[in-house]
Amino acid sequence: MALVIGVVAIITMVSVSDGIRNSMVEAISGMNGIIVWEKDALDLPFSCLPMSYEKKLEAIPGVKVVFPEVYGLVNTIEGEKPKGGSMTMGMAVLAGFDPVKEQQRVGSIYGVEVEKGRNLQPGDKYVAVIGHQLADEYDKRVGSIMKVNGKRFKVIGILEESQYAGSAVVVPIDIARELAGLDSDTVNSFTVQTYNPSDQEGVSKIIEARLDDVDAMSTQAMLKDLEEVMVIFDWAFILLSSISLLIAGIGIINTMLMSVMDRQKEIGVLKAVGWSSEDVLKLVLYESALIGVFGGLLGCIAGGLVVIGIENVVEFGLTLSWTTILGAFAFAVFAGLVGGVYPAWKISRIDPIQAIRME
Amino acid sequence: MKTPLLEARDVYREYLLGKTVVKALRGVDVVIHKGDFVFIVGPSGSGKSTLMHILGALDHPTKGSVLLDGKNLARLSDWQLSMVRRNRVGFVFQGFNLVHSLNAKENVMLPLQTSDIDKVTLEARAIKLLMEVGLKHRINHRPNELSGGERQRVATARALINEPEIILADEPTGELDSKTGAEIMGLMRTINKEKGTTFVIVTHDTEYITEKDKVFRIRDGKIIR
Repeated sequence: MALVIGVVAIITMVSVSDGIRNSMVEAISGMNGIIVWEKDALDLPFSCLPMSYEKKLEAIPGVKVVFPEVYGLVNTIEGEKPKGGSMTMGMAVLAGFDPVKEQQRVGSIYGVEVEKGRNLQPGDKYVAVIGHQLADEYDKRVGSIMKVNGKRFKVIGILEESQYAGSAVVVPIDIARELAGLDSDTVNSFTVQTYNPSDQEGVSKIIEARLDDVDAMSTQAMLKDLEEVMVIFDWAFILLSSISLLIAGIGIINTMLMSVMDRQKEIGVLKAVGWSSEDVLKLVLYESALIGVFGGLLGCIAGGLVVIGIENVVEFGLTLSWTTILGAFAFAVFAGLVGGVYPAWKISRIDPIQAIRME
Repeated sequence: MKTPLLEARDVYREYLLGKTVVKALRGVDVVIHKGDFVFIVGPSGSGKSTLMHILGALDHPTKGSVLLDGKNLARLSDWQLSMVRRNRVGFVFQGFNLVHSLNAKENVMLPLQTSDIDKVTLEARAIKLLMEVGLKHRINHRPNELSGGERQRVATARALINEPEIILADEPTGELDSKTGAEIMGLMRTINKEKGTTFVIVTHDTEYITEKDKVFRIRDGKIIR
Protein backbone atom coordinates (compact mmCIF):
# COMPACT_ATOMS: atom_id res chain seq x y z
CA MET A 1 0.00 0.00 0.00
CA ALA A 2 2.81 2.42 0.96
CA LEU A 3 4.48 1.56 -2.32
CA VAL A 4 1.32 2.24 -4.36
CA ILE A 5 0.83 5.59 -2.57
CA GLY A 6 4.50 6.45 -3.16
CA VAL A 7 4.19 5.74 -6.89
CA VAL A 8 0.94 7.77 -7.11
CA ALA A 9 2.65 10.66 -5.27
CA ILE A 10 5.65 10.58 -7.60
CA ILE A 11 3.54 10.46 -10.78
CA THR A 12 1.35 13.33 -9.54
CA MET A 13 4.30 15.45 -8.38
CA VAL A 14 6.26 14.99 -11.60
CA SER A 15 3.17 15.66 -13.72
CA VAL A 16 2.45 18.88 -11.81
CA SER A 17 6.10 19.94 -12.01
CA ASP A 18 6.29 19.16 -15.75
CA GLY A 19 2.98 20.93 -16.32
CA ILE A 20 4.14 24.09 -14.55
CA ARG A 21 7.48 24.02 -16.34
CA ASN A 22 5.94 23.48 -19.79
CA SER A 23 3.24 26.07 -19.24
CA MET A 24 5.72 28.72 -18.00
CA VAL A 25 8.23 27.96 -20.74
CA GLU A 26 5.43 28.21 -23.32
CA ALA A 27 4.30 31.54 -21.92
CA ILE A 28 7.77 33.07 -21.57
CA SER A 29 9.14 31.74 -24.86
CA GLY A 30 6.14 33.23 -26.66
CA MET A 31 6.92 36.71 -25.38
CA ASN A 32 9.89 37.09 -27.68
CA GLY A 33 11.17 40.39 -26.34
CA ILE A 34 11.93 42.48 -23.27
CA ILE A 35 9.10 43.17 -20.83
CA VAL A 36 9.29 46.60 -19.27
CA TRP A 37 7.07 47.39 -16.27
CA GLU A 38 6.93 49.65 -13.23
CA LYS A 39 9.71 48.95 -10.76
CA ASP A 40 8.70 46.55 -7.95
CA ALA A 41 5.12 46.20 -9.21
CA LEU A 42 3.52 42.94 -8.08
CA ASP A 43 2.32 41.96 -11.55
CA LEU A 44 1.65 43.57 -14.91
CA PRO A 45 -1.94 44.72 -14.10
CA PHE A 46 -0.54 46.55 -11.02
CA SER A 47 2.15 48.32 -13.01
CA CYS A 48 1.55 51.84 -14.36
CA LEU A 49 3.84 53.57 -16.88
CA PRO A 50 3.42 56.77 -18.93
CA MET A 51 2.98 56.42 -22.71
CA SER A 52 5.84 58.93 -23.11
CA TYR A 53 8.26 56.07 -22.32
CA GLU A 54 7.40 54.58 -25.72
CA LYS A 55 9.54 57.21 -27.50
CA LYS A 56 12.34 56.92 -24.92
CA LEU A 57 12.45 53.17 -25.39
CA GLU A 58 12.41 53.48 -29.19
CA ALA A 59 15.43 55.81 -28.95
CA ILE A 60 17.63 53.14 -27.36
CA PRO A 61 20.13 51.68 -29.85
CA GLY A 62 19.19 48.18 -31.04
CA VAL A 63 15.48 48.57 -30.34
CA LYS A 64 13.35 47.72 -33.35
CA VAL A 65 9.80 48.21 -32.06
CA VAL A 66 8.01 48.99 -28.77
CA PHE A 67 4.53 47.61 -28.02
CA PRO A 68 2.44 49.41 -25.40
CA GLU A 69 0.24 46.95 -23.52
CA VAL A 70 -2.66 47.11 -21.09
CA TYR A 71 -3.65 44.23 -18.80
CA GLY A 72 -6.52 43.73 -16.43
CA LEU A 73 -9.03 41.26 -15.12
CA VAL A 74 -12.37 40.82 -16.84
CA ASN A 75 -15.07 41.60 -14.26
CA THR A 76 -18.13 40.39 -16.16
CA ILE A 77 -18.88 38.34 -19.26
CA GLU A 78 -22.43 38.40 -20.59
CA GLY A 79 -23.39 40.52 -17.55
CA GLU A 80 -22.19 38.01 -14.96
CA LYS A 81 -18.96 37.10 -13.21
CA PRO A 82 -16.87 34.86 -15.49
CA LYS A 83 -18.06 31.28 -15.11
CA GLY A 84 -16.17 29.22 -12.59
CA GLY A 85 -16.11 26.31 -15.01
CA SER A 86 -13.44 23.65 -15.13
CA MET A 87 -11.34 25.55 -17.64
CA THR A 88 -11.33 29.25 -16.79
CA MET A 89 -11.84 28.78 -13.02
CA GLY A 90 -13.67 32.12 -12.86
CA MET A 91 -10.67 34.07 -14.20
CA ALA A 92 -10.47 35.86 -17.53
CA VAL A 93 -7.59 38.14 -18.48
CA LEU A 94 -8.06 41.35 -20.46
CA ALA A 95 -5.19 42.29 -22.78
CA GLY A 96 -5.08 45.49 -24.80
CA PHE A 97 -2.69 45.76 -27.77
CA ASP A 98 -2.14 48.52 -30.31
CA PRO A 99 -3.61 47.26 -33.63
CA VAL A 100 -1.21 49.45 -35.66
CA LYS A 101 1.90 48.28 -33.81
CA GLU A 102 0.74 44.66 -33.90
CA GLN A 103 1.46 44.66 -37.65
CA GLN A 104 5.20 44.96 -36.81
CA ARG A 105 5.31 42.21 -34.16
CA VAL A 106 7.74 39.41 -34.92
CA GLY A 107 6.00 36.16 -34.03
CA SER A 108 2.53 35.90 -32.54
CA ILE A 109 0.97 37.35 -29.39
CA TYR A 110 2.68 35.52 -26.54
CA GLY A 111 3.48 32.65 -28.84
CA VAL A 112 -0.18 31.82 -29.43
CA GLU A 113 -1.54 31.97 -32.96
CA VAL A 114 -5.04 33.09 -33.95
CA GLU A 115 -6.55 29.76 -34.98
CA LYS A 116 -9.91 30.96 -36.32
CA GLY A 117 -10.76 34.41 -37.72
CA ARG A 118 -8.14 37.16 -37.63
CA ASN A 119 -5.92 39.25 -35.34
CA LEU A 120 -6.49 42.94 -34.46
CA GLN A 121 -6.15 45.38 -37.37
CA PRO A 122 -5.86 49.18 -37.55
CA GLY A 123 -9.25 50.80 -37.19
CA ASP A 124 -10.70 48.02 -35.02
CA LYS A 125 -12.81 49.22 -32.06
CA TYR A 126 -15.18 46.94 -30.14
CA VAL A 127 -13.78 43.67 -31.40
CA ALA A 128 -12.08 40.87 -29.46
CA VAL A 129 -9.82 37.93 -30.05
CA ILE A 130 -10.62 35.40 -27.33
CA GLY A 131 -8.91 32.33 -25.84
CA HIS A 132 -10.15 28.85 -26.81
CA GLN A 133 -11.34 28.06 -23.29
CA LEU A 134 -13.61 31.09 -23.17
CA ALA A 135 -14.90 30.29 -26.66
CA ASP A 136 -15.75 26.75 -25.52
CA GLU A 137 -17.26 27.80 -22.20
CA TYR A 138 -19.46 30.56 -23.65
CA ASP A 139 -20.05 28.78 -26.99
CA LYS A 140 -18.64 31.70 -29.04
CA ARG A 141 -17.55 31.56 -32.66
CA VAL A 142 -16.05 34.10 -35.03
CA GLY A 143 -18.83 36.67 -35.59
CA SER A 144 -20.52 36.03 -32.20
CA ILE A 145 -21.26 38.96 -29.88
CA MET A 146 -19.78 38.79 -26.37
CA LYS A 147 -20.48 41.27 -23.56
CA VAL A 148 -17.31 42.03 -21.60
CA ASN A 149 -17.48 44.39 -18.57
CA GLY A 150 -20.84 45.64 -19.89
CA LYS A 151 -19.62 46.42 -23.44
CA ARG A 152 -20.60 44.45 -26.55
CA PHE A 153 -17.69 43.03 -28.55
CA LYS A 154 -17.71 41.22 -31.84
CA VAL A 155 -15.53 38.11 -31.68
CA ILE A 156 -13.16 38.39 -34.67
CA GLY A 157 -10.71 35.67 -33.74
CA ILE A 158 -10.19 32.64 -31.49
CA LEU A 159 -6.70 31.76 -30.23
CA GLU A 160 -5.28 28.28 -30.66
CA GLU A 161 -5.29 25.90 -27.68
CA SER A 162 -2.88 27.08 -25.01
CA GLN A 163 -2.58 26.75 -21.26
CA TYR A 164 -1.43 30.34 -20.89
CA ALA A 165 -3.84 32.30 -23.10
CA GLY A 166 -6.92 30.08 -22.86
CA SER A 167 -8.96 32.65 -20.92
CA ALA A 168 -7.64 35.82 -22.60
CA VAL A 169 -9.79 38.58 -24.09
CA VAL A 170 -7.58 40.60 -26.48
CA VAL A 171 -9.00 43.98 -27.52
CA PRO A 172 -7.60 47.22 -29.04
CA ILE A 173 -5.52 49.12 -26.48
CA ASP A 174 -7.80 52.20 -26.33
CA ILE A 175 -10.80 50.03 -25.55
CA ALA A 176 -8.78 48.09 -22.94
CA ARG A 177 -7.86 51.37 -21.21
CA GLU A 178 -11.57 52.26 -21.13
CA LEU A 179 -12.46 48.88 -19.58
CA ALA A 180 -9.54 48.93 -17.09
CA GLY A 181 -10.18 52.57 -16.10
CA LEU A 182 -6.77 53.83 -17.30
CA ASP A 183 -6.36 57.26 -18.91
CA SER A 184 -5.10 57.59 -22.48
CA ASP A 185 -1.51 58.47 -21.43
CA THR A 186 -0.99 55.31 -19.38
CA VAL A 187 -0.15 51.69 -20.05
CA ASN A 188 0.69 48.75 -17.80
CA SER A 189 3.82 47.64 -19.63
CA PHE A 190 5.79 47.67 -22.85
CA THR A 191 7.19 44.76 -24.83
CA VAL A 192 10.41 45.76 -26.57
CA GLN A 193 11.70 43.79 -29.55
CA THR A 194 15.28 44.24 -30.71
CA TYR A 195 16.75 43.90 -34.20
CA ASN A 196 18.94 41.08 -32.94
CA PRO A 197 17.43 38.73 -30.30
CA SER A 198 20.90 38.21 -28.78
CA ASP A 199 20.99 41.91 -27.88
CA GLN A 200 18.11 41.53 -25.42
CA GLU A 201 20.30 41.22 -22.32
CA GLY A 202 22.34 44.32 -23.14
CA VAL A 203 19.31 46.38 -24.12
CA SER A 204 17.54 45.39 -20.86
CA LYS A 205 20.47 46.82 -18.89
CA ILE A 206 20.43 50.07 -20.88
CA ILE A 207 16.64 50.41 -20.32
CA GLU A 208 17.03 50.03 -16.55
CA ALA A 209 19.94 52.50 -16.59
CA ARG A 210 18.04 55.15 -18.54
CA LEU A 211 14.64 54.77 -16.86
CA ASP A 212 14.96 54.68 -13.06
CA ASP A 213 11.41 53.57 -12.29
CA VAL A 214 11.22 50.46 -14.48
CA ASP A 215 12.24 46.84 -14.39
CA ALA A 216 13.24 45.27 -17.71
CA MET A 217 13.61 41.58 -18.23
CA SER A 218 14.37 39.67 -21.39
CA THR A 219 12.79 36.35 -22.36
CA GLN A 220 16.13 34.60 -21.90
CA ALA A 221 16.55 36.08 -18.40
CA MET A 222 13.03 34.99 -17.47
CA LEU A 223 13.73 31.45 -18.69
CA LYS A 224 16.95 31.47 -16.66
CA ASP A 225 15.04 32.63 -13.57
CA LEU A 226 12.43 29.96 -14.22
CA GLU A 227 15.10 27.29 -14.43
CA GLU A 228 16.46 28.44 -11.03
CA VAL A 229 12.98 28.16 -9.52
CA MET A 230 12.46 24.77 -11.16
CA VAL A 231 15.76 23.52 -9.66
CA ILE A 232 14.21 24.17 -6.22
CA PHE A 233 11.14 22.27 -7.42
CA ASP A 234 13.35 19.41 -8.59
CA TRP A 235 15.16 19.21 -5.24
CA ALA A 236 11.83 19.24 -3.39
CA PHE A 237 10.72 16.45 -5.72
CA ILE A 238 13.92 14.44 -5.03
CA LEU A 239 13.40 14.92 -1.28
CA LEU A 240 9.76 13.82 -1.41
CA SER A 241 10.66 10.86 -3.65
CA SER A 242 13.37 9.81 -1.19
CA ILE A 243 10.87 9.97 1.68
CA SER A 244 8.41 7.93 -0.41
CA LEU A 245 11.18 5.41 -1.18
CA LEU A 246 12.06 5.16 2.50
CA ILE A 247 8.43 4.64 3.59
CA ALA A 248 7.79 2.14 0.77
CA GLY A 249 11.06 0.36 1.57
CA ILE A 250 10.14 0.07 5.28
CA GLY A 251 6.70 -1.25 4.27
CA ILE A 252 8.29 -3.90 2.07
CA ILE A 253 10.87 -4.85 4.73
CA ASN A 254 8.01 -5.34 7.18
CA THR A 255 5.90 -7.36 4.73
CA MET A 256 8.81 -9.54 3.63
CA LEU A 257 10.05 -10.10 7.19
CA MET A 258 6.60 -11.28 8.27
CA SER A 259 6.35 -13.44 5.17
CA VAL A 260 9.74 -15.17 5.61
CA MET A 261 9.34 -15.57 9.37
CA ASP A 262 6.04 -17.35 8.74
CA ARG A 263 7.86 -19.68 6.33
CA GLN A 264 10.98 -20.43 8.40
CA LYS A 265 10.25 -24.15 8.48
CA GLU A 266 9.58 -24.25 4.73
CA ILE A 267 12.82 -22.37 4.01
CA GLY A 268 14.67 -24.66 6.42
CA VAL A 269 13.44 -27.62 4.35
CA LEU A 270 14.65 -25.94 1.15
CA LYS A 271 18.11 -25.49 2.65
CA ALA A 272 18.13 -29.06 3.98
CA VAL A 273 17.34 -30.53 0.55
CA GLY A 274 20.14 -28.62 -1.14
CA TRP A 275 19.22 -25.00 -1.68
CA SER A 276 22.21 -22.80 -0.93
CA SER A 277 21.98 -19.58 1.09
CA GLU A 278 22.36 -17.70 -2.23
CA ASP A 279 19.39 -19.60 -3.69
CA VAL A 280 17.22 -18.59 -0.71
CA LEU A 281 18.49 -15.00 -0.96
CA LYS A 282 17.55 -14.89 -4.65
CA LEU A 283 14.11 -16.40 -3.96
CA VAL A 284 13.21 -13.75 -1.36
CA LEU A 285 14.63 -10.92 -3.49
CA TYR A 286 12.63 -12.22 -6.45
CA GLU A 287 9.47 -12.20 -4.31
CA SER A 288 10.10 -8.67 -3.04
CA ALA A 289 10.87 -7.45 -6.57
CA LEU A 290 7.56 -9.03 -7.61
CA ILE A 291 5.82 -6.98 -4.89
CA GLY A 292 7.58 -3.96 -6.42
CA VAL A 293 6.35 -4.90 -9.90
CA PHE A 294 2.73 -5.38 -8.80
CA GLY A 295 2.82 -2.31 -6.51
CA GLY A 296 4.39 -0.33 -9.35
CA LEU A 297 1.75 -1.46 -11.86
CA LEU A 298 -1.09 -0.62 -9.45
CA GLY A 299 0.56 2.70 -8.54
CA CYS A 300 1.08 3.62 -12.21
CA ILE A 301 -2.56 2.88 -13.03
CA ALA A 302 -3.81 4.75 -9.94
CA GLY A 303 -1.35 7.64 -10.51
CA GLY A 304 -2.38 7.94 -14.16
CA LEU A 305 -6.05 8.03 -13.15
CA VAL A 306 -5.35 10.67 -10.46
CA VAL A 307 -3.49 12.90 -12.94
CA ILE A 308 -6.19 12.48 -15.63
CA GLY A 309 -8.86 13.14 -12.98
CA ILE A 310 -7.19 16.32 -11.72
CA GLU A 311 -6.65 17.53 -15.27
CA ASN A 312 -10.30 16.91 -16.17
CA VAL A 313 -11.51 18.87 -13.15
CA VAL A 314 -9.16 21.88 -13.15
CA GLU A 315 -7.31 21.75 -16.53
CA PHE A 316 -4.13 22.66 -14.70
CA GLY A 317 -1.82 21.66 -17.54
CA LEU A 318 -0.55 18.46 -15.84
CA THR A 319 1.75 16.61 -18.19
CA LEU A 320 1.70 12.80 -17.89
CA SER A 321 4.59 11.34 -19.86
CA TRP A 322 5.80 7.78 -20.47
CA THR A 323 9.13 8.81 -18.92
CA THR A 324 7.31 9.69 -15.68
CA ILE A 325 5.33 6.43 -15.68
CA LEU A 326 8.39 4.28 -16.46
CA GLY A 327 10.46 6.20 -13.89
CA ALA A 328 7.81 5.67 -11.19
CA PHE A 329 7.59 1.97 -12.12
CA ALA A 330 11.38 1.62 -11.90
CA PHE A 331 11.21 3.35 -8.50
CA ALA A 332 8.69 0.74 -7.29
CA VAL A 333 10.78 -2.22 -8.48
CA PHE A 334 13.91 -0.67 -6.93
CA ALA A 335 12.06 -0.07 -3.63
CA GLY A 336 10.89 -3.70 -3.78
CA LEU A 337 14.42 -4.98 -4.27
CA VAL A 338 15.95 -2.70 -1.61
CA GLY A 339 13.17 -3.59 0.85
CA GLY A 340 13.82 -7.29 0.27
CA VAL A 341 17.57 -7.19 0.95
CA TYR A 342 17.47 -7.37 4.77
CA PRO A 343 14.71 -10.05 5.05
CA ALA A 344 16.47 -12.07 2.31
CA TRP A 345 19.83 -11.82 4.05
CA LYS A 346 18.32 -12.70 7.43
CA ILE A 347 16.37 -15.76 6.27
CA SER A 348 19.18 -17.03 4.03
CA ARG A 349 21.32 -17.46 7.15
CA ILE A 350 18.74 -19.59 8.94
CA ASP A 351 19.95 -22.86 10.47
CA PRO A 352 17.97 -25.56 8.61
CA ILE A 353 17.91 -27.94 11.59
CA GLN A 354 16.39 -25.37 13.94
CA ALA A 355 13.95 -24.27 11.25
CA ILE A 356 12.78 -27.84 10.55
CA ARG A 357 12.18 -28.49 14.26
CA MET A 358 9.85 -25.46 14.50
CA GLU A 359 6.18 -26.21 15.05
CA MET B 1 39.43 -53.20 1.57
CA LYS B 2 36.37 -51.32 0.25
CA THR B 3 36.43 -47.54 1.00
CA PRO B 4 33.42 -46.56 3.12
CA LEU B 5 30.89 -44.29 1.44
CA LEU B 6 30.23 -42.45 4.68
CA GLU B 7 32.18 -42.54 7.90
CA ALA B 8 31.94 -40.81 11.28
CA ARG B 9 35.16 -40.89 13.31
CA ASP B 10 35.05 -40.16 17.02
CA VAL B 11 32.27 -37.59 16.56
CA TYR B 12 31.24 -35.36 19.43
CA ARG B 13 28.42 -32.84 19.29
CA GLU B 14 27.66 -30.39 22.05
CA TYR B 15 25.23 -27.52 22.00
CA LEU B 16 23.81 -24.97 24.37
CA LEU B 17 20.26 -25.29 25.60
CA GLY B 18 19.78 -22.05 27.52
CA LYS B 19 22.79 -22.09 29.83
CA THR B 20 23.12 -25.87 29.87
CA VAL B 21 25.65 -27.65 27.66
CA VAL B 22 23.97 -30.68 26.11
CA LYS B 23 26.32 -33.47 25.04
CA ALA B 24 24.30 -35.03 22.22
CA LEU B 25 27.08 -37.24 20.82
CA ARG B 26 30.10 -38.51 22.77
CA GLY B 27 32.66 -40.12 20.50
CA VAL B 28 30.57 -41.91 17.86
CA ASP B 29 32.14 -44.11 15.18
CA VAL B 30 30.03 -45.22 12.24
CA VAL B 31 31.06 -46.80 8.93
CA ILE B 32 28.56 -47.09 6.07
CA HIS B 33 29.30 -48.74 2.71
CA LYS B 34 27.60 -48.25 -0.62
CA GLY B 35 24.33 -50.22 -0.86
CA ASP B 36 24.03 -50.73 2.91
CA PHE B 37 20.61 -50.66 4.56
CA VAL B 38 21.47 -49.15 7.93
CA PHE B 39 19.37 -48.59 11.04
CA ILE B 40 20.34 -46.19 13.81
CA VAL B 41 18.15 -47.14 16.73
CA GLY B 42 17.78 -45.81 20.20
CA PRO B 43 15.35 -44.20 22.61
CA SER B 44 14.20 -40.56 22.37
CA GLY B 45 16.99 -38.11 23.19
CA SER B 46 19.74 -40.66 22.57
CA GLY B 47 21.33 -38.51 19.82
CA LYS B 48 20.24 -40.51 16.76
CA SER B 49 18.69 -37.54 14.89
CA THR B 50 21.77 -35.41 15.65
CA LEU B 51 23.95 -38.16 14.19
CA MET B 52 21.76 -38.32 11.09
CA HIS B 53 22.02 -34.54 10.58
CA ILE B 54 25.81 -34.70 10.91
CA LEU B 55 26.05 -37.64 8.48
CA GLY B 56 23.89 -35.69 5.99
CA ALA B 57 26.05 -32.51 6.04
CA LEU B 58 23.24 -30.58 7.73
CA ASP B 59 25.14 -30.17 10.98
CA HIS B 60 28.80 -30.31 11.93
CA PRO B 61 30.55 -32.11 14.79
CA THR B 62 32.06 -30.21 17.71
CA LYS B 63 34.95 -32.68 17.56
CA GLY B 64 35.84 -35.56 15.27
CA SER B 65 35.27 -35.85 11.53
CA VAL B 66 32.77 -37.02 8.95
CA LEU B 67 34.13 -38.41 5.68
CA LEU B 68 32.15 -38.76 2.48
CA ASP B 69 34.08 -40.88 -0.01
CA GLY B 70 37.09 -40.25 2.20
CA LYS B 71 36.73 -36.45 2.04
CA ASN B 72 36.33 -34.53 5.29
CA LEU B 73 33.08 -32.52 5.22
CA ALA B 74 34.55 -30.00 7.70
CA ARG B 75 36.76 -28.67 4.90
CA LEU B 76 33.80 -27.75 2.70
CA SER B 77 32.27 -24.28 2.48
CA ASP B 78 28.61 -23.56 3.21
CA TRP B 79 27.90 -23.59 -0.54
CA GLN B 80 29.82 -26.87 -1.09
CA LEU B 81 27.84 -28.49 1.75
CA SER B 82 24.62 -27.33 0.01
CA MET B 83 25.87 -29.02 -3.16
CA VAL B 84 26.58 -32.25 -1.23
CA ARG B 85 22.99 -32.21 0.06
CA ARG B 86 21.64 -31.35 -3.39
CA ASN B 87 23.62 -33.90 -5.40
CA ARG B 88 24.57 -36.80 -3.14
CA VAL B 89 22.15 -37.01 -0.23
CA GLY B 90 18.38 -37.35 0.04
CA PHE B 91 16.44 -36.61 3.24
CA VAL B 92 13.16 -38.03 4.48
CA PHE B 93 12.18 -35.99 7.50
CA GLN B 94 10.15 -36.86 10.53
CA GLY B 95 6.69 -35.33 9.92
CA PHE B 96 7.21 -35.32 6.13
CA ASN B 97 8.00 -31.57 5.92
CA LEU B 98 6.25 -31.04 2.63
CA VAL B 99 5.45 -27.51 1.42
CA HIS B 100 1.69 -27.16 1.78
CA SER B 101 1.23 -24.58 -0.97
CA LEU B 102 2.77 -26.93 -3.58
CA ASN B 103 1.29 -30.10 -5.07
CA ALA B 104 2.96 -33.53 -4.90
CA LYS B 105 4.86 -33.08 -8.18
CA GLU B 106 6.13 -29.60 -7.23
CA ASN B 107 7.23 -30.87 -3.81
CA VAL B 108 9.22 -33.65 -5.47
CA MET B 109 10.84 -31.15 -7.88
CA LEU B 110 11.83 -28.79 -5.04
CA PRO B 111 15.45 -29.94 -4.35
CA LEU B 112 16.48 -29.37 -7.98
CA GLN B 113 14.39 -26.24 -8.71
CA THR B 114 17.52 -24.08 -8.60
CA SER B 115 19.72 -26.55 -10.48
CA ASP B 116 20.62 -26.38 -14.18
CA ILE B 117 18.18 -29.15 -15.09
CA ASP B 118 15.45 -27.82 -17.40
CA LYS B 119 11.88 -27.76 -16.11
CA VAL B 120 10.50 -30.29 -18.61
CA THR B 121 13.12 -32.91 -17.71
CA LEU B 122 12.63 -32.23 -14.01
CA GLU B 123 8.85 -32.53 -14.26
CA ALA B 124 9.17 -35.81 -16.18
CA ARG B 125 11.56 -37.16 -13.55
CA ALA B 126 9.20 -36.12 -10.69
CA ILE B 127 6.19 -37.76 -12.36
CA LYS B 128 8.19 -40.97 -12.98
CA LEU B 129 9.22 -41.10 -9.31
CA LEU B 130 5.68 -40.46 -8.08
CA MET B 131 4.53 -43.34 -10.30
CA GLU B 132 7.29 -45.55 -8.89
CA VAL B 133 6.15 -44.87 -5.31
CA GLY B 134 2.56 -45.63 -6.28
CA LEU B 135 1.15 -42.11 -6.49
CA LYS B 136 0.21 -41.96 -10.18
CA HIS B 137 -3.27 -40.72 -9.24
CA ARG B 138 -2.04 -38.10 -6.74
CA ILE B 139 0.47 -36.13 -8.86
CA ASN B 140 -1.41 -32.81 -8.68
CA HIS B 141 -2.74 -33.17 -5.14
CA ARG B 142 -1.59 -30.93 -2.33
CA PRO B 143 -0.29 -32.43 0.95
CA ASN B 144 -3.55 -31.67 2.81
CA GLU B 145 -5.38 -33.83 0.24
CA LEU B 146 -3.11 -36.84 0.89
CA SER B 147 -3.11 -39.52 3.60
CA GLY B 148 -0.13 -39.94 5.97
CA GLY B 149 1.24 -42.85 3.94
CA GLU B 150 0.87 -40.89 0.68
CA ARG B 151 2.68 -37.90 2.16
CA GLN B 152 5.55 -40.15 3.21
CA ARG B 153 5.68 -41.56 -0.34
CA VAL B 154 5.90 -38.00 -1.70
CA ALA B 155 8.69 -37.27 0.80
CA THR B 156 10.50 -40.44 -0.35
CA ALA B 157 10.10 -39.47 -4.01
CA ARG B 158 11.48 -36.00 -3.14
CA ALA B 159 14.52 -37.64 -1.53
CA LEU B 160 15.09 -39.62 -4.75
CA ILE B 161 14.77 -36.75 -7.26
CA ASN B 162 18.50 -35.97 -7.24
CA GLU B 163 19.33 -39.67 -7.67
CA PRO B 164 21.31 -39.65 -4.40
CA GLU B 165 23.84 -42.21 -3.26
CA ILE B 166 22.50 -42.08 0.30
CA ILE B 167 19.02 -41.51 1.69
CA LEU B 168 18.80 -40.47 5.33
CA ALA B 169 15.37 -41.04 6.82
CA ASP B 170 14.37 -39.75 10.26
CA GLU B 171 11.58 -41.85 11.79
CA PRO B 172 9.98 -42.53 8.37
CA THR B 173 7.29 -44.72 9.92
CA GLY B 174 6.84 -42.67 13.07
CA GLU B 175 3.57 -41.03 12.08
CA LEU B 176 2.10 -43.98 10.17
CA ASP B 177 -0.04 -46.93 11.19
CA SER B 178 1.74 -50.32 11.17
CA LYS B 179 0.35 -51.41 7.78
CA THR B 180 1.34 -48.17 6.04
CA GLY B 181 4.66 -48.18 7.90
CA ALA B 182 5.41 -51.65 6.56
CA GLU B 183 4.52 -50.51 3.03
CA ILE B 184 6.89 -47.52 3.25
CA MET B 185 9.68 -49.69 4.62
CA GLY B 186 9.04 -52.19 1.82
CA LEU B 187 9.26 -49.35 -0.73
CA MET B 188 12.62 -48.27 0.71
CA ARG B 189 13.98 -51.81 0.57
CA THR B 190 12.86 -52.12 -3.07
CA ILE B 191 14.66 -48.89 -3.99
CA ASN B 192 17.75 -50.09 -2.10
CA LYS B 193 17.70 -53.36 -3.99
CA GLU B 194 16.85 -52.02 -7.45
CA LYS B 195 18.83 -48.76 -7.50
CA GLY B 196 21.57 -49.66 -5.05
CA THR B 197 20.80 -46.55 -3.00
CA THR B 198 22.27 -46.61 0.51
CA PHE B 199 19.68 -46.09 3.26
CA VAL B 200 20.34 -44.80 6.77
CA ILE B 201 17.14 -45.03 8.80
CA VAL B 202 16.83 -43.48 12.22
CA THR B 203 14.12 -45.10 14.31
CA HIS B 204 13.23 -46.18 17.83
CA ASP B 205 11.13 -48.94 16.30
CA THR B 206 13.04 -52.21 15.79
CA GLU B 207 10.27 -54.28 14.19
CA TYR B 208 11.40 -53.51 10.61
CA ILE B 209 15.01 -54.65 11.15
CA THR B 210 16.16 -57.87 9.43
CA GLU B 211 19.28 -59.92 9.97
CA LYS B 212 20.93 -58.58 6.81
CA ASP B 213 20.68 -54.96 7.97
CA LYS B 214 23.52 -53.08 9.59
CA VAL B 215 22.36 -51.69 12.95
CA PHE B 216 23.92 -49.02 15.17
CA ARG B 217 22.36 -48.86 18.62
CA ILE B 218 22.84 -45.52 20.32
CA ARG B 219 22.26 -44.55 23.93
CA ASP B 220 23.26 -41.32 25.70
CA GLY B 221 25.25 -40.22 22.67
CA LYS B 222 27.34 -43.37 22.41
CA ILE B 223 27.17 -46.38 20.10
CA ILE B 224 26.55 -49.58 22.00
CA ARG B 225 26.91 -52.99 20.40
